[in-house]
Amino acid sequence: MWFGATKSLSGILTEPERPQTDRPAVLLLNAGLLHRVGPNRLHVVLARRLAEAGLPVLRFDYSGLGESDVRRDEVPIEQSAVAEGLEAMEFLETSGVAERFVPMGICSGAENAQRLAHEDERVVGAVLIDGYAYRTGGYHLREYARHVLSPRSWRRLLSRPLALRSVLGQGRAAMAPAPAERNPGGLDYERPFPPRETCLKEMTQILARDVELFLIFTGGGMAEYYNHPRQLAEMFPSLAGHPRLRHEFMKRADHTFTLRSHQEEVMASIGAWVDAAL
Amino acid sequence: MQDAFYFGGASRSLFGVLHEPLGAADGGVVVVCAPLWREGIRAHRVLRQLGVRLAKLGHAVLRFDYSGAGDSAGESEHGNVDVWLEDVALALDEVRRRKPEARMTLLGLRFGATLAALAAARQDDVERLVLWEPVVNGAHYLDAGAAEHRTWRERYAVWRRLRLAELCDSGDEILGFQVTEAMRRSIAAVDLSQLSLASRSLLIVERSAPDATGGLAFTLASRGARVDHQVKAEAEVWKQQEDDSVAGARETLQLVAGWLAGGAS
Repeated sequence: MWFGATKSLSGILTEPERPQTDRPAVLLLNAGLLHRVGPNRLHVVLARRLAEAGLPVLRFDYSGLGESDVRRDEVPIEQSAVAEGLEAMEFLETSGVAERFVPMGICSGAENAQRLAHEDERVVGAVLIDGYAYRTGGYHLREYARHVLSPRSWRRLLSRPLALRSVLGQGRAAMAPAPAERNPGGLDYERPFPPRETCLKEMTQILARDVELFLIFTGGGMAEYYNHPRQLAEMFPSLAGHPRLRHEFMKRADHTFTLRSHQEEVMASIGAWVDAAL
Repeated sequence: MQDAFYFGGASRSLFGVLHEPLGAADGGVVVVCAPLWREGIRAHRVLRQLGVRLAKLGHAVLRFDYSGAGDSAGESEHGNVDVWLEDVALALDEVRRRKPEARMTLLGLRFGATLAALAAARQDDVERLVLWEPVVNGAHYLDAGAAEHRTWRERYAVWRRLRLAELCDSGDEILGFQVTEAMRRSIAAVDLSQLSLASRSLLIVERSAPDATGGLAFTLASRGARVDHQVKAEAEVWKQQEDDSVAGARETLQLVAGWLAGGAS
């Protein structure tokens, strides 16, 4: 189906066989440049399972991705993503599919889901997978301990005398893997996150509207930013224990859920959250 | 202009996108056979761009998802070579229905090229074929995929400091997708060097020159096909995720467009 002001956005709507009244619709947002099927077709399978649970699901492509046309204006991508998310909600509302919405996404999809939840009061829940995260003192301590206790790190250090000389000065960096050994299950670039205070303010405002939030962090995808289930409370102490904020740390999973066991795990977690929160 | 729709009847429900040709030129219809599994997802962007470009040059282009792939109905683990070839045949039927007089071309990338070649051998009205980095030997393809998966899993376990056993793997996975025994058997049986495509016009684009035996191009030419073999050492766009895959395949896209526009006999 095509929607949006110029009918240039494309999406696939998966509807429940037995629609339930007053259930929100899920918006599955693009993960990076991947089109609407998601990494390893995860979004397709998830959409079908959520529809079986009674929720309509729209998987759509932002402009310039999948089948959607490139925008002709020069609106920054952060703004166009919100605008197009709103257009998707308008479309579903005017089509009589739903009046409340739950955006879900991985990586940039999580960032856009958070923006949409902050922007529009029709959003009643959001699932943010590998969204914004911030290194804490606890993060650095755990990373340091991980390297100090690792025979592999010591072998690497002792094989590089210059690194040994500078280890006290550089600490973790001197013991870190060489570039060629960098994360095969995550990202190979630095993600530009907003300041932690900005993110906290947004999340606080979202939760104050009774929105249900589910944050999932993968150990592989977020290794540079997040390394323990406790870290959410370290990042945002004022939100710790919030009744509408649930989070999960999938320590072994990588950013794109390459192993099928991890695909099943994340879909089961989302399914359980949907049952409990929506 | 592009039109998205489902076809193939209720039992298959295949997702397709038809790029309508722009202008008066009649370049016939090009049916695109995508790679399998993760390669298919990563190549989506470049194949869409190819469709847009060919439509501007006067071709109608149908891109579609196999059963259990992309937006088509079904589960990925239910596919096999016979099922995918039936899907290609349904895609050809769909364009014959929509464009009854059109000249037919099959274009495939990776295992999609393999399926295109196998389908063309069964379909007399497919005059032209574009095989982009075709998989010639199915068994070797599976071995390479399994090795790539194994290497990824081992590197990831080391990097994450996990025991390999902690990364639960059903043993029949290739980078995100299950490869069932039926699927494996059907792919392993594929060997394009046994194929004959006599009197067809082919463009074969590969990243490296063939070995001393001359490779697939030599074999098919020796059996009566008109083969244009080109080497383009460009990026493996079916493996990229975040990079600009379209720019990475610029020369190949130009080559394919030029060949379809006039280079093919």
